Amino acid sequence: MNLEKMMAVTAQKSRYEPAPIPPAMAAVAEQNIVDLDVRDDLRNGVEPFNRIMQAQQRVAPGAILRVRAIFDPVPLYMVLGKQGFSHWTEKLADDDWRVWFYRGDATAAPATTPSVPPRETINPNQDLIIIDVRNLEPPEPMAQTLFALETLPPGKALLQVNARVPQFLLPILEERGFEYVLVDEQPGEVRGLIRRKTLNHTDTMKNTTEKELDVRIIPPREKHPAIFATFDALDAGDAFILINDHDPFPLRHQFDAERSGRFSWDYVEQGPVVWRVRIAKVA
Amino acid sequence: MRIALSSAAAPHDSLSELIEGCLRRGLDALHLVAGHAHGLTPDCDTVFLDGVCEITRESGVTIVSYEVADASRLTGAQCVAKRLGAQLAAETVVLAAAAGNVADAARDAFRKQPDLQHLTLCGGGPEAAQFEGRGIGVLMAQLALMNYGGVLALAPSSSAVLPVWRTWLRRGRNWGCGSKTSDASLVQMGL
Repeated sequence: MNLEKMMAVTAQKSRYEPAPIPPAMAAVAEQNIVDLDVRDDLRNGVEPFNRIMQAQQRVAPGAILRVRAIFDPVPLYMVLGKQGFSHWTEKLADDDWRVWFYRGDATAAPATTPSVPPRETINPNQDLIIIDVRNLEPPEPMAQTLFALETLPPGKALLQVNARVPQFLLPILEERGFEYVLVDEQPGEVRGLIRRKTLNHTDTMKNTTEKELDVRIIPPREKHPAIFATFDALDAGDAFILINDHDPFPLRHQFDAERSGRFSWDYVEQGPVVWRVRIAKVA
Repeated sequence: MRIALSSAAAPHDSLSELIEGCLRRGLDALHLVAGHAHGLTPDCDTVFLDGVCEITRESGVTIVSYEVADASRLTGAQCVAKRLGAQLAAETVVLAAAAGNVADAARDAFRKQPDLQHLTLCGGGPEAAQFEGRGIGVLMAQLALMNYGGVLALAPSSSAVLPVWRTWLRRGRNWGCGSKTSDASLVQMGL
């Protein structure tokens, strides 16, 4: 994701208004704050997104992630918002922003209550790819699991053996079109069976007559402009299928930042070689 | 729209190798040009063609178009195309990325022939990355918006770049999304 560019684009749109310190944040001790300064990265044109996502995984429940940036990182609010973070922003100077990410109401929400398929629907004889991440340090469990899922053959399932409930992974699974079942029958061991959601016939038929934009052969610098040009030319209620050779989730974040509330995003196919996403212009 | 790999990209590859290249690149269509090593000539017998159909059906890669340069063999080519369930690419419009703006060229072609069903992009595939600003982004957006249902065959710009295509077809590496340096000025739709 080109967070730097998104930040730059949306910095002008940001509406900074000083607000009182949220009570949930004021009570946090200094040792429970994870500090991350990405100002030099941004000044040097280095993508800070991965560092931020790695840092947020180190934030324990009740702790805070404190990010320093050279502008108001509006897109980051949406990205971390999906991970359950609220934020509070301080403008220290025109090119110095300090943002406190803390778990607000989201901490109360149970992370293990997704739309879980009934356990009995999982075929015990199904071919499984097993990945044991119990001894890995964050963010390796998530990184390795997502990598394994990217190359998961159709019809197969992934069994992740973890030491704890993979809270950050779960919303990403939902977003990427996977369903899962968690089992924690033994102390210190959580087993998660993950598989792709299956498209129903109606979905497949619906997509066969829609416009298709295949960006695989478009030069890199023209890809996103071509996608947004296509989207902007759509009539309200119209849609197109984006075809790509990798999961276009950075594009999703750019849509969130630049076309917020005006689009819908549905995965039709998720790899391992081709990804298809139905992007519709909301009426 | 069907994006097809042209056999011109790998003229020395057998049909099986072409299919493998397609699968590796996530393409489900082939454009075959007579005279290449795939072996489909305008005088192929029906038994051979039925065998080809079986191979393609099993692989999931369809032969969507068949092209022959020699006009005297068009009748035979037509029979081959019909047997394969492909279209005869007798009037393909060649869009050469090295020569100019392919989006403008396509727009002109559709103006002359609105029901155009076959385009060949010379300079697509692994070469496209070096043809920034030549209208490939605009072309793809235009084809999407007009809901183009024909074939877009990907072909090399010259025989000099065949090693690049060979490498591309045998590996699975991609370019990435390019969002870090995306440039909206390269895609002006003129709407």
